[in-house]
Amino acid sequence: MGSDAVLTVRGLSKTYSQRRWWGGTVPGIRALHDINFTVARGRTLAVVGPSGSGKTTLARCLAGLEQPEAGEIQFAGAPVEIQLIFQQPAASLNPRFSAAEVVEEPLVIQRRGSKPERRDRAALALERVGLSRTILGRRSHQLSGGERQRLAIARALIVEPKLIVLDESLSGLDIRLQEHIARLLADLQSRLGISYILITHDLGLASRLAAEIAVLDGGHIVDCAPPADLESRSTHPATRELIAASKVLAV
Amino acid sequence: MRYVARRLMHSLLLLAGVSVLSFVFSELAPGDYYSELQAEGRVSAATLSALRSQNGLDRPLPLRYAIWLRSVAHGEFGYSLAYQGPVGPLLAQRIPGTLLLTCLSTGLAWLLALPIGVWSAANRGYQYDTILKVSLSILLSIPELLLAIILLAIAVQTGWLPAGGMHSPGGGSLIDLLRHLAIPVTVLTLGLLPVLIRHVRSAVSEAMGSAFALAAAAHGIPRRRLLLRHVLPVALNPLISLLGLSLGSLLSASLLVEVLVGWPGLGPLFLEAIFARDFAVVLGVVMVSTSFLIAGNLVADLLLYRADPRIRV
Repeated sequence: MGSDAVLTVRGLSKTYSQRRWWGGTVPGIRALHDINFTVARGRTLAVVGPSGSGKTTLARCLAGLEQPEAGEIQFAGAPVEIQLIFQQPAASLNPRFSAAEVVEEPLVIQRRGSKPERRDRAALALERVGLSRTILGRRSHQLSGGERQRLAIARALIVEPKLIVLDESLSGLDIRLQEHIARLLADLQSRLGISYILITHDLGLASRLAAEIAVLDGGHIVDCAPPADLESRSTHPATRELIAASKVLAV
Repeated sequence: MRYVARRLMHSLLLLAGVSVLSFVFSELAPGDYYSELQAEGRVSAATLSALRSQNGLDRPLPLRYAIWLRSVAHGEFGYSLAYQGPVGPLLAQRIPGTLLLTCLSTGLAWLLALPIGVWSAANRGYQYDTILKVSLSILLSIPELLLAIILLAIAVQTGWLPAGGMHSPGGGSLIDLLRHLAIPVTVLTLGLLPVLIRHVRSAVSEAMGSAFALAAAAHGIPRRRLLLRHVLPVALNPLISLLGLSLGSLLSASLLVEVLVGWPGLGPLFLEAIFARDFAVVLGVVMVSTSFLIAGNLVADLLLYRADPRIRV
């Protein structure tokens, strides 16, 4: 991968501390410990692990929502070119904003373009995710679940990101919709060269979408391999458990 | 428009219900305006019963209610035995004083509560917020009447502020009015403030913790814009409903405070009328307060209707 890396993470650690009412802090849960990985341009890395393994903390650190206490995150681009799509993208839309406002907001805060230019870019972003311009004036409660999902992706696309972190964004969708969105993401990747970090507990989904799978357990990356090799190269019981679970589900 | 018409219809029905209940309760309560005269024993029983029948107190309840309704239609709202005149003008004279006091206090309390509440929600868990929370709890536990008495005592001791009334004798300037307003408005505002701040704080905190606020933060939206443009509009819904309630609740507090500071509003009128068993005046004040409450809620609902397109009932 080398020079083609979009994102390189080295020695990333994060401990959550509790704030005392008088202002002091007490160290709490160690969520991530010495995380290392790289993501290549136009590729997908899946981060798989059970609940509480530190997946969401990792996503939040990458998106700049949490300050890691150690390690470095090297990103080939401006911070805004990392976009995060949430666990429930639909809930991440402000209920008082119209679809146009949702998609344009990242441009507004960066003071990019005039109002008509922003509207055009918003319409283009909607088109890219397969939504029609006619929904620009609608609010999220007037959209269907699939439309909201696409809108959240359009919002991430509008800043022309190099990397999108999908934090369980495909979980909890019905199978057909999940398939649609997965295909949309793959299509965007091949057209725009975006890299994804797909954070999920679903090994099956990860195997279908990702070029490489990192298994996270207890804040450590315990295995990292392409999907086809994961089973043969796995060294850690957590990985074997995940593989076994996905097989049970597949049957 | 149809929504407003329907709401107005509901309000009229509610007012009718309150008036009927008031009549029924007054019938259940012992004594009437002449009971005191009777107890003193200086007026003969024959005279008293003549007075009662002259003023229609011996008529059956439904008939008295019908007579009262007719006088409402004429804008008189019944006949006050103590003042020997229709109730309407009495109320009209006192309403502006009470409205001035309650609207000013409600407005002031909200103006203070919104920024303080938002600030407190944004700094949740820090020392200042903890200090604020403790002070609010203390303020909340002080009854308004005690607060009024303390402030009045200070005013009397120091002579900084007038200790009652609405105008100084001979003085009618705005400054004079404001000096008289200071104590009752302070008491009412401080009484309402802790409740409002807590509500603003929790509504804003809740909206801040929601997924869309997190998403906005992840997009690098500056904190100020995040709070004012993203979070506050969403937090506003429950607060708008609270606005209507706060108007109504402040009115009942205001009646008591008015009595204490001798403010020429509905409060003293109400108290006198209760002691004198001057039923028409009591009923008049009850109807006015009910109307205030209804109006407050109506305003809040209309604001809500405008603010949030999802609420189109």
